[in-house]
Amino acid sequence: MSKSSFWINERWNFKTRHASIILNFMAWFVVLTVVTLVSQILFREGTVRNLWERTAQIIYGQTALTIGMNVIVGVGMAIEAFGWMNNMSQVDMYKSVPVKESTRFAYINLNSFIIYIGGFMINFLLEIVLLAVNGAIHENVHMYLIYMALLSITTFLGTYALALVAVFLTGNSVLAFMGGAFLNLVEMILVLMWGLGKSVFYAGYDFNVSIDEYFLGIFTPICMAINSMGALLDERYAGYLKATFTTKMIWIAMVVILVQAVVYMILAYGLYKKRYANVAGRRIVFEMAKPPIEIAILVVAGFATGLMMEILGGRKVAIIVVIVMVVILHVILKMILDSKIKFSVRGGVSLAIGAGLAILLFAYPAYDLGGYKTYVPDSSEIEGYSVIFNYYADYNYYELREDSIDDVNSTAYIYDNVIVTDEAAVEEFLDAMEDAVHNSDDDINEVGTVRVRYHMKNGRSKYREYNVNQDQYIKAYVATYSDINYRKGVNPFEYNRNIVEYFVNDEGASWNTSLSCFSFGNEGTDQNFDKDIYFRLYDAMEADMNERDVNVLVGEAPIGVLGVDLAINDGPYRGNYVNIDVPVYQSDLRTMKIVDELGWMQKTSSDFNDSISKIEITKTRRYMDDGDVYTDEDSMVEFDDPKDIEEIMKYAYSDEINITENCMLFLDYGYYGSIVTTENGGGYHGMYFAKDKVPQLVLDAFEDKANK
Amino acid sequence: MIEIKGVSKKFDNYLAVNDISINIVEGIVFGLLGTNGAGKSTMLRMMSGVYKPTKGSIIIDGQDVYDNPEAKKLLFFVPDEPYYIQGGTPRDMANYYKTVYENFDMDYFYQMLDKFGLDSKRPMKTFSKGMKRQLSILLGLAAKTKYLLCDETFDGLDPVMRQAVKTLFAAELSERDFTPIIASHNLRELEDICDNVGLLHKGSIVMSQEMDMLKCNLHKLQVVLKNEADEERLYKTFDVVAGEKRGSLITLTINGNRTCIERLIADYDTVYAEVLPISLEEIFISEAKGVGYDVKKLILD
Repeated sequence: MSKSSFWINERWNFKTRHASIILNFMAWFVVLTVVTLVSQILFREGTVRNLWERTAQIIYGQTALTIGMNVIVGVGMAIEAFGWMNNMSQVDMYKSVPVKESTRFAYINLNSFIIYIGGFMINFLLEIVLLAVNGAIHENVHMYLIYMALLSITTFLGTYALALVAVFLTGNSVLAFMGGAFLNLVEMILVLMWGLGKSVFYAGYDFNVSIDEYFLGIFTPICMAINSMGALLDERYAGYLKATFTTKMIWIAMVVILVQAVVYMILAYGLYKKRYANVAGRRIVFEMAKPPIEIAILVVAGFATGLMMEILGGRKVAIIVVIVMVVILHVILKMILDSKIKFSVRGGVSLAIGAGLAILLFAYPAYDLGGYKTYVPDSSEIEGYSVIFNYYADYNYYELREDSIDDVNSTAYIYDNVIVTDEAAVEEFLDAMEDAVHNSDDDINEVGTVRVRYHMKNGRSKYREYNVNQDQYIKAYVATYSDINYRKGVNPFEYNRNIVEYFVNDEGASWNTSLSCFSFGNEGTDQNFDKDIYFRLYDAMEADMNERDVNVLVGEAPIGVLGVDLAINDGPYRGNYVNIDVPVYQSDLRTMKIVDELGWMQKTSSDFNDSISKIEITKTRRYMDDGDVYTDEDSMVEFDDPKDIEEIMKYAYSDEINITENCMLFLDYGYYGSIVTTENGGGYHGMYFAKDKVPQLVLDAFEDKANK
Repeated sequence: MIEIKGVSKKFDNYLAVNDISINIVEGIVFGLLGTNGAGKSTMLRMMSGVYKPTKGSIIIDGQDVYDNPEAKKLLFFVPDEPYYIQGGTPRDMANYYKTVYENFDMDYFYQMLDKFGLDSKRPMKTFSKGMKRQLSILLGLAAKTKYLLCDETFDGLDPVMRQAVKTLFAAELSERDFTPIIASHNLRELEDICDNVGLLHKGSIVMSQEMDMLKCNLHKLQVVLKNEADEERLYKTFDVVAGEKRGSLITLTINGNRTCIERLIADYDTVYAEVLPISLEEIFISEAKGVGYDVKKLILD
């Protein structure tokens, strides 16, 4: 075939690929541009200019959407390019004409690329025009867009080449699509399953951390692309681009994806050449491909079944169901893959490997075969540790840098920045954790959770979560709190000095402060006040927190939560919302002085007592079963005598108190009260008692009830 | 010349073609006969380079055909179910083939379309099965390749069109270096057109011969013997390929020339004896029976 014939074929093939052209146009223009614009018009308010601006920003800014679109287009186009191989009539026509297979392979793939580039570039140019018309072109937006375009192109090439492997392995388009999608997402599916497994078997597994791992795969273009796009996204804020951004990750990703594309293309070409022409309509083309495909399906399905049955029926039931399910699935797969409706358990090796791997994958975390749950490092192995004591106390910490604002989730922030390295603290903390893993039983009262990141000396990290009883919790907390690094680390003021600058200098900033007191009937006292008072309060809160004695935390209840909400309404950081919530104690003298001055503590609990008609107290039992914490209600007593109510209320704390991170230190979780009031036509308030401070009349009432 | 040397084709565990060797010389019409599932289509697909033989080789004018554009330029394959570009017209098909066959004769194609009453701009989806068949043959002829491989091509053509196509073949044979190879199980269609035939059964070649030789060497003898005891001797005297008896009438398919058979039968005391020419269909049935493909058995079993 002459060179000119190559281009003639190329042109002819291009003419016939209507499906690819439509898919590409639909993906890039209709879905990404038109749908985005219409959704903005339908669901957002604003001027026409604002809508277009938002649309433009979404189009170039929604990188995950762009990458996802590349994958869909890549898989779709690969199927369309070689879909003719699934039709015997087309095979007869194309394979009998004088065209060399390598030439055909080359011009079809070249066409796919040309079609892709055509649609993509039209949309890309449209985006630039949209941005320019709406004045959204920012300093480095051109470079940003160019990097994004290059990454999109390489991602398409990678996903397309990988999808070709599935196309040549299967004999029909539906299976090719499923296979192409699976191969492109396989790393994410595996990480998702691993994450799911951990979260099921290791209660409270910190998914915020593993979500980063989600895109760390290096064998699929989508993982590489999203991961590197993430690097760009981190440098972006509120739709505006940072002056400088890291391009190294993008370049690495592009090179790796290109290498992947070449490797997958070579593999695809090998399969293309080896594929018989008569396999149109077959499920799996190559006999030798069936066992690995079957094993992969058995493992995934078996493991997923195990996860589900673990929740529904426990570990033993799960393993039995996994075995039964895998055998049944094996028989069904034999029928599907061999296209024969015939009962057969042949292929015992695949079944054995699939079942074995599925059970191992399930049993490894379920029975903690790796010692994950009981792992506590030796102090000589770690540089230090980061810890989050209360699962529910996820405050948000913000950091304003010179050139951008990055919001930081408190979990990730503490894990990364607040590291306890004091040797004595480390020893004490590890002792407490050792005690927790070795002396735990299934019937401990007062259970809490402690999440830890161990910073290993080898530079790695290990993340764990422990169930602890109250004594272990207090021991770990006191050890940790004694390290000033921790105290300052969890103190949001230390990291919010730049926010203060906005209060002083930025007229576009507005703020609101509030004190939510934990005394009954006194919640939600809101105040607005001026900058001077704010600064006094800010300084007082910071000083009190840094100097607070740990015994205060063990022995006192906070009076409430002091909150400062900051909104930036104008300027480059507009739209950002920053808030600080800190617990305040009676012994925080500097802070309390200002609170008193402002008259925030005027209402007393005695006013509230008059409205109480009844108090119901439930004796609770908290226990662990297979790593999960459960609470049972053992029995309940009621008090409606005003004298009893007055006595009980002397010791009562609002359950609002439970939102502070150190409430575990002094609350008695063995008793929980419901206060029934007549206020506003009747209401309920939750209450706790302090540790070892349960009123005698309550204890007596429960004893009487038990004796009866 | 097409040289088929020890060719086998296996699909997974199924042996579709088993060790076939045939030479197809130029300038003849070669008929590839075969029972259903005999491997005719597989054979043609291997000859056109669609399939790669599992074993053996297919050489077209000195070149291996598989994935060899130079060899494929010499042939055009008209499959059993030709593909037509979706929404396409005869003109689109011709344009495609023009890109891959350098000698594709557009003028000839349009002339033939006119003669056959086919509209070059009419979407092919509106064509009848017969019209599509005509189109595929015309495309094959217009490609002006040396070899034209046709798989069950005459199916679906009415008698007039069949005759027209045969006339076209004859014209091409007289005008240029042209060798059609036609696979079919419809023997009557091939009888008056094929010069050579190859008979396939269950993937193997049962025989391959010139048509004239075949007919000259194979005859049908109908005889009624006066003495029934002679029947056994009759089978020993002749090289019987197949035989049957209805009442007292014995019908034998016999290898041998007419004179020899007439001479031998003269030794028998007969009520009636006649040597008849054999049709291709009878040759097919008798040869197939010889390798265990018995029509009666098929029906009675």
